[in-house]
Amino acid sequence: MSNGTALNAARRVPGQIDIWYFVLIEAIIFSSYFITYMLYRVWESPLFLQSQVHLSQNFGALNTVILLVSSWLVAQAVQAAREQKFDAAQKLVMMTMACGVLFIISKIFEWSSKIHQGFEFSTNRFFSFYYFLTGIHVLHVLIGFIFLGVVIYQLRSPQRRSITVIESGAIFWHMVDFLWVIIFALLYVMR
Amino acid sequence: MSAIDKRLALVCLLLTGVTLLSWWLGNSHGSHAFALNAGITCSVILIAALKVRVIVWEFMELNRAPLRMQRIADALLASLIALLLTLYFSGRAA
Repeated sequence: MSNGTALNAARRVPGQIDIWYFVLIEAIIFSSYFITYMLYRVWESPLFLQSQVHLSQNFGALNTVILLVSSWLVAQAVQAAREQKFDAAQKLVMMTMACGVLFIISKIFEWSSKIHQGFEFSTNRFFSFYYFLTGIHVLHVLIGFIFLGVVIYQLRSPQRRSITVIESGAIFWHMVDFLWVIIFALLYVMR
Repeated sequence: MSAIDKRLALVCLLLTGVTLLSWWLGNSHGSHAFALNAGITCSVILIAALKVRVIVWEFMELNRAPLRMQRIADALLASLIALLLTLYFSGRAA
């Protein structure tokens, strides 16, 4: 066996393979949204730039940092579970969920502020994309709560604990994080 | 704090740092902040790509996954970023 083959044999897929297929499909679906957004952005550049003025860069950056910290917390939770520190792992997953709640509250606050200023889904194409992309992302945060709930359920009882399932829940949450990273760049910051 | 915990904390710090850099780029041009700017767009999209790569490699632990999975992930990310930048620059050239 060559060194390369031996090295590859020592590698393993984190979590269940099914979650990776799911992440792959989600990445392809979101990529198609991002490409469509970029096409319209190119076609209607002045409208998109004028509309972007009304988004809060600070909110976008704050949302990103909240999700990055939540990803860090859930990565630590997986590590704690591997080290058999199940109480610590549970606390870390709950803190991750708290970050998720904070993210959703800040999004609701941001949406209501935009609607109050008169910028709704039907205002123009930029705001249609803004509500669609942020809305579908929040839906994924909510689905992430189900995954994290399963992780907590697994951590609570010695009979149920499966590191693979715990890793899978964390992988879904990280996906929610990296999707937001691209949404932040495209909606809030690019010019 | 274990070596892995330290590494995860460093990764989180790096990601937060580049997020603040993106935020600063978006706010750094005063009254011209919302004019077409290829430099900002290119930097911001490349920073986002770096962040996604780091999240997938370090937090999702693809750095320990089989090489085939790593190559698929890199190819997907590189294709998306290349397509987004090509569309942006083709629009500017038109």
